[in-house]
Amino acid sequence: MSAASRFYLALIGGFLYLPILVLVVFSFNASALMSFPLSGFTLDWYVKLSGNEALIHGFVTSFLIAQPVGLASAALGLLAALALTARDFRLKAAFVALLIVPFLVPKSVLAIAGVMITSRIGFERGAVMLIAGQTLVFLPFTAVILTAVMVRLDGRLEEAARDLGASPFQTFRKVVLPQLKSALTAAYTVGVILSLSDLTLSMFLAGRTQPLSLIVASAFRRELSPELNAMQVVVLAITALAVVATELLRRGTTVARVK
Amino acid sequence: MARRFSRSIFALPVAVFLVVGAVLPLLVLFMFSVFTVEDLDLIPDFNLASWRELFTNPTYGILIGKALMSGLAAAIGTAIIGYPVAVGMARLPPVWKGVALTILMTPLYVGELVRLYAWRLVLGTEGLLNSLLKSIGLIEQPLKILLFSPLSTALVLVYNNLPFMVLAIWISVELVDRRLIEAARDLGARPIEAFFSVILPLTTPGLAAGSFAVFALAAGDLLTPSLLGGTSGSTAMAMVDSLFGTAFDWPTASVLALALLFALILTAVILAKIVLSSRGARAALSGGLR
Amino acid sequence: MTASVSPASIAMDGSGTTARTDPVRSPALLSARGLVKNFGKSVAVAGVDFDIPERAFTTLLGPSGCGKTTILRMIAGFEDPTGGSLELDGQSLASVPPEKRPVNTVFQSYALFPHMTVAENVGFSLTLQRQTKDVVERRVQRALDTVHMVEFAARYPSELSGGQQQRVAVARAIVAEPRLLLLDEPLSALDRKMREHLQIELKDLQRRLGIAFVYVTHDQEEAFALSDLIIVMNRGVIAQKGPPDEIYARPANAFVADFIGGASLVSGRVAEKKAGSASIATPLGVIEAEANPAVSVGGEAVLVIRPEHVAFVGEGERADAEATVIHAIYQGGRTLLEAEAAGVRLKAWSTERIAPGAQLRLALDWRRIFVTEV
Repeated sequence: MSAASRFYLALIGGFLYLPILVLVVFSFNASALMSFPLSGFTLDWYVKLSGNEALIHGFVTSFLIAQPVGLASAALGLLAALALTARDFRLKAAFVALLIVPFLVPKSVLAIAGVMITSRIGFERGAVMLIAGQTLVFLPFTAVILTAVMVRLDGRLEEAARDLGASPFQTFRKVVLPQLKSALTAAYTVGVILSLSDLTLSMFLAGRTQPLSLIVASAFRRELSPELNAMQVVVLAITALAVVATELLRRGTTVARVK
Repeated sequence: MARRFSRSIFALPVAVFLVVGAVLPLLVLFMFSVFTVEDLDLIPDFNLASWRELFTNPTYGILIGKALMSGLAAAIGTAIIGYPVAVGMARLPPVWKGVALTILMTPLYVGELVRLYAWRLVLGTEGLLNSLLKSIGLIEQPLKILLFSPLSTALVLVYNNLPFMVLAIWISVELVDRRLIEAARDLGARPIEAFFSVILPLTTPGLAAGSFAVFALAAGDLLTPSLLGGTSGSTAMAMVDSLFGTAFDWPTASVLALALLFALILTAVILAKIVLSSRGARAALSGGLR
Repeated sequence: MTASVSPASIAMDGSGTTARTDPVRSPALLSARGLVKNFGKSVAVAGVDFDIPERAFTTLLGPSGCGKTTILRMIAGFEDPTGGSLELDGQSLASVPPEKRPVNTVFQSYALFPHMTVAENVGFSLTLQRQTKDVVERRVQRALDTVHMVEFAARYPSELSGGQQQRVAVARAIVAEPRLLLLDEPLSALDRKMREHLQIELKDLQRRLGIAFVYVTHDQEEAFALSDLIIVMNRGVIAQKGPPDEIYARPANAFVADFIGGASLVSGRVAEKKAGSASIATPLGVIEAEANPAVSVGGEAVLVIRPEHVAFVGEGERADAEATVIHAIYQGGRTLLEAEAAGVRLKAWSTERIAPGAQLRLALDWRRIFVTEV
């Protein structure tokens, strides 16, 4: 590998993490003004954050919404992956097209259209709609993750299990599912993380529920505060932990076999 | 004896969910687009006034054009920046590939808002970039154009979508048989010639998939332009939002949303078609790989 | 054979006036000295010396993982040697990239460019040399004609059968007239009939082109059918190099004897050594036979007995051993017998069908049995 290409990779890596780094730096900066040069190290913003009930309540709300979203998008993603890897699925192309719809259609259009329907039939916006909406939009992601792993599974193992007398259900439970454990965990985590990071859908669907992203968004329009930086860094740290944990789990079984 | 069990049956619940959640709302948009609003109520009188508005009022056309342009800019920008990244990643030793993938994907998991927020810190008048430029004496007054301009919108759209493009290209680079590259070298191709004669043609499917996804995501982005685009940030999506929310003009909102959607899908399909029409793409997709 | 080639010998050969002698004796085109390749901690090639004669068909033969493909890849320039030298015409190949070597490769599974037609694949190297369209067309035509594939010029690789793809791969590799053609198990993906057919074509092609072929295979029959010179590899070292008949008749050690031709190996101790022969004490008795000069008196050695060295004799005739048939494997025209005599297993051919358990009297062909190192 040439030095030039290594340098380029490092440069792009820097580009990807530059804004995140700036965010972290300012959360420890001893000044309410977010400008250079830096004024010194402080933990004040984290201390203040711990007393800010609105932000903490927002985070708890986001977290509670993210759990069912993660579970539902992983479960539906699994069903989609099972169907997509079935050899006798004649409507596969149509099903794939259907799966792409929530990815291709802008989230805001989907959300607005959804709200138009539900408000006509008198269904209130709120946590339930937000969970359903996020699950719908994240489904293409989890379906791709699970399908990518399932196509790599050795189909002969299933045939061997059937040959040895296992029913389709037993084959699934005892042969397929154990091989999918880490991929399912990955799908669930991706669902949770995408849910935590979502703003667009929350704006349209949350109603009176106030997830963290909405609280931060309204503050964002007014002014930036180091306290918000600290909150973002905390969310970031939790997300990073989840990502690393998932990555380690995933790598346990399904390292991309690349020569 | 019961009919042979097939896993394809699992598609049913998922398909129902997708139809109710995504297809039905789009059909309803069609319905609302031919209604009229009177006294904050929708009258189902099936008129085409709103559609006529779309074609007569240039504002809508311009907004849709803007959305397509920013989508194209993001697709082209990410392709140019991302292609070398994908090729570089494919050349990493296997252990480092996983690390590189994690490094690439992690920023995606950071919330939309957090990313925009952080870019404000970088690009703002008192931000990192202006401070840096001032301290090395390149400028005296902070550059206002860095933030709240089409430039910052384009930059952040590229930033937000780069991982998708790199991922798509990287997968197709990995699928190119290494021996084809060796064969090209063996037959007298310098590394750069091997790249243009073998790798580039055979990775066009990845390039197409990446362009398709990035274009759709960037053109439909509501937040980035409205939060970073300043006065230029009025977008078709923002217009849909305000027509729907504040103005309660659902028919026009529906028309605009549908028009945007059509333009978006059409352009994305054309974009992907152009890239896929190459012989390399056909060879790669017809299983000539392996 | 010398490691370097004098300019005079190249000029002489270039003039084309040298008499058609044994290709194995033609001057060395490529020389490897102390060639080593390590992948991390594992040793793929552990210091080998060999010369590739410039008009010969040379085969690197050995079981998988013996280092033969690694040597091929080092010659092509895809791997850098960890140690030692590779010289082509006396010029070091170190730091010469693959595209600059007058060496072309026919890859295992062919590596045809899927997005190019047959003609474009074959013309690839000429196009890179910026040859004119006419020249490219003419030489592509000629190369395709050489492999009988002219009528497929406009097809794509995916529209060809395995054997046809193989021919295109050969045409592509010879069109630029390399000094050396490398072939990495080029026939392994084909069925037996096609393989035998293409073996004949490859051998014929090498004779017509008169350039050096280096062929890698694990199939000893293929090696014998094609080669002027065989280099037998085992675990990263050369077990033996020489013409096929030499390797068959006088294997340098037990590995070569076993790998080639499925000989029965009978261990024993060398009792006495004369010029060219040795006596060895085995369970079958003390036997004197032609011997590898490397065996030493008092040392361990093996007796190499091939199935065709074993004959059946009737009552009253001289026999070397009484044996019991253990296995009988019917092979169409003949049966391969495995028989046990004095605790030793011997293989033998029989034209009659004999059932396991049968008692036989065996006579050994002393003049063809060989004593070699363990």
